[in-house]
Amino acid sequence: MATATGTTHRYPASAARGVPLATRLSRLGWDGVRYALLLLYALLCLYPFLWMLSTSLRSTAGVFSAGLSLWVDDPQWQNYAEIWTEANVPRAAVNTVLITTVCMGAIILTTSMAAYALTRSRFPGRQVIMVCLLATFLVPGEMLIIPTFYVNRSLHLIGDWRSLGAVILVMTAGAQVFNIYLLMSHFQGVPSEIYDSAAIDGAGYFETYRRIAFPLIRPALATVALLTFMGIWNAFLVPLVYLSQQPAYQTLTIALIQYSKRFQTLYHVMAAGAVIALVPVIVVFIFLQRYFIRGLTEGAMKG
Amino acid sequence: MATTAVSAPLAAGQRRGRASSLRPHLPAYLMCAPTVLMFLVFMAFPIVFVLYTSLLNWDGITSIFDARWVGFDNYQTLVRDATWWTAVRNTVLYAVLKLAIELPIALLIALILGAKLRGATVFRTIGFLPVVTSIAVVSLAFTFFFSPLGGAFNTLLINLGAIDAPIAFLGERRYAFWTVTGVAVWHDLGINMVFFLAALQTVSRDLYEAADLDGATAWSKFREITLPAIRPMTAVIVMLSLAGSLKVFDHFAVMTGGGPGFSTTTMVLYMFRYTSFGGGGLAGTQTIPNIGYGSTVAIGLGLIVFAAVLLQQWIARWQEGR
Repeated sequence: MATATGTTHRYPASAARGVPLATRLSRLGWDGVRYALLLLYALLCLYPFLWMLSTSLRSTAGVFSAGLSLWVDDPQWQNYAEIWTEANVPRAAVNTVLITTVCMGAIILTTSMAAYALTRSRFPGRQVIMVCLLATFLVPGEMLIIPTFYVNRSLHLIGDWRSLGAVILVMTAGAQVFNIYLLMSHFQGVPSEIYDSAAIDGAGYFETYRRIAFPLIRPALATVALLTFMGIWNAFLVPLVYLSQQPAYQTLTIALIQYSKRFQTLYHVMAAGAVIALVPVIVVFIFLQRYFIRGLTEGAMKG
Repeated sequence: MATTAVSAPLAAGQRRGRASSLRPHLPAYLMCAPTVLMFLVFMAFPIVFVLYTSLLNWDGITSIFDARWVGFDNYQTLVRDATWWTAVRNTVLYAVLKLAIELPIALLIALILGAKLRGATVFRTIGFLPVVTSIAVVSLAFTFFFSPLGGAFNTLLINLGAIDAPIAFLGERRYAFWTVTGVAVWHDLGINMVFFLAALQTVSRDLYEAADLDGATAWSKFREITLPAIRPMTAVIVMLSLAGSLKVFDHFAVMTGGGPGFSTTTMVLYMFRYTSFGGGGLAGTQTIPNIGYGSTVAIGLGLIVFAAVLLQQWIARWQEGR
C-alpha cells in the first residue's frame, strides 16, 4: 500500500493526452477487444459440454464422422437407454445420492460441533487438537490411501454395501480440517453475550449449539453443504479404491469409467452417461452459482 | 492465552483436582469426539502404519505378520528407481506448467471482468462452469475429443491444414502429457480467475484515482498498484495450485492411465501400480501387489508435497521481506 502511493509521484503529469472524443473512441475499441476475448473464453469453456451433448445423441456410425459439428440430424435417444441399463445407472445414481447425502449430513454435523466447541471453550487438550488439525494440512490424503484401505479392512468395511460405509467414513474424515477452519472463523463472529444470555435462560452447552449457534451461522453451513455436495458427487479416487470391485455399489463416475473400459469405442453411449453424471452438478451450480463462487473464494482466503 | 491460564493451576493441582476440573468441559469433549476419533483412525494411525509397512516386504494379500522386515531396502530401491523419478518429473513439470499457463490467463480474464463490463456475471458463470464438473467424467469425453478415430480436435487441425493425418494425441509419447495438461488447464482456469477477481475487488479505488491524477499509464498502474495489492492472494493461489497438482491423479488415470509406457505417469498413479485395489478402473495399468514398496512411494509423495509447501512459504516470506 505505502509503496504504491509513494511511487505514483514518479510519473510526470501527462494527463492531457488526447481529446475527449478520441478517448471515448479508444474506450469503445478497448471494450470491443475485451468482449472479443471474453467471448472466445466463454466459447472455449462451453464448447466441450455442447459437443459432449451432441455426441451423446449420435448414431454408432455418425459419431465418427461428425467432427466439430454440434448439429445432430437424427437424435438417438436410445443411447441414454443403453447406458441406463448397461452401466446400471439407476443403481449407481442411488449409490451416489446416498453417499453424497450421508457425507453432507455427517460433515455438517461433526465439523460444526467441533468448530463450536473449539471456538467457545478453552478446555485442556484444545491446543493439542488445534495443532493436530493444522498438521493434517501438510499430509496429503493420497499418501494415506494404502494404510487407510487396511484400516477399513480390519474394521470389516470392505465388500458389498460395507464398502459404501468405508467411502463415507474416509471422505467424511478427509473433509474435517478445511470445514472446521471455515466454520470456526464464523463462530468467532458470534458475540459471547449471546452465549451468556442463553446460559442465564438455562440453556445447556449442547442446547446453545443446537438452538442458537448452529442457526446463526447457517450461511456458512450452506457453503459447507454446497462444497461437500460438489466434492463428493465428483469424487473419483476414494470410490475407485473401495467400489471398483463392487459392481452393485458403484457411484456414477466409477460405473461410467468401468463401462468405458469394457466398450472402448462406444463414445456416443459414454457421452450419454457423462451427461447424466454431469447434469445434477451443473443444474445446482446454475441456480446457486453466486454461493459456489463465494464459498470457494472464502475457503481460499481462510486457507 | 486462555489455555495457559487454565492449565497453569492444573499442573500444580493434584490428580483428583484435575479430574474434577475436566468435568465441566465434558460437553465440549463430546462434541469434539467424532472429529478426534476420525483423526486417530483415518489420519494418525495410518501415518504410523504407512511408515511401518514401508519397511516391509509385504504383498498386501497375505497376513502382515508373515511379512519380511527389510529395513530401508524399499527406500534404497526408490532412490534408484528410474520410473519413480519419471513420475516425479512428470508431476513437477505438470505443476509448474499449470501455474505458468493458468496464472497469466486467469489474471487477464479477471482484469477484463473486473472492469465493470455489462454481462460480466454471465461470463464469470460460464468461465467457472468447468470447475464444478467432475474431471474424471469430463476426461472421458476428452478421450474421444482427442481420438484419432474421428475425434473433433483432429478434424479441426486437418480442416485448418495444420496436419495431414490424424494424430493419437493421447497415445503418442510426444503429445500425451501435453494433451492431458491442456485438459487440466481448461478445467481449472476458472477457479484461479475467480480468486483473482476476489483479490482485485480488494484494491482501493482511491489509489487508481490518485494515479490518474498523476497521469500514470495503464501499465504502470497495473505494475505499481494492482500487482502489489494482489500479491497475498497470488501466494494463496500458488500454494493451492501446487498442493493440488502434486497429488494429480484423476485425468491422467482416465485419459492415459500413465501411458504410453510411463510417459504420463504421476506420483499417485505410480503408487497405485503397487496396490491390488482400484486397478480395475485404470487404463492399461498392470498392477504389482507390493504394499511395502507402494507405501514407500506414498511417503516419497508426502515428502515432495511437504517440501513444495515449505519452499513456497519460504519464497513468499522472502518476497515480503524484500
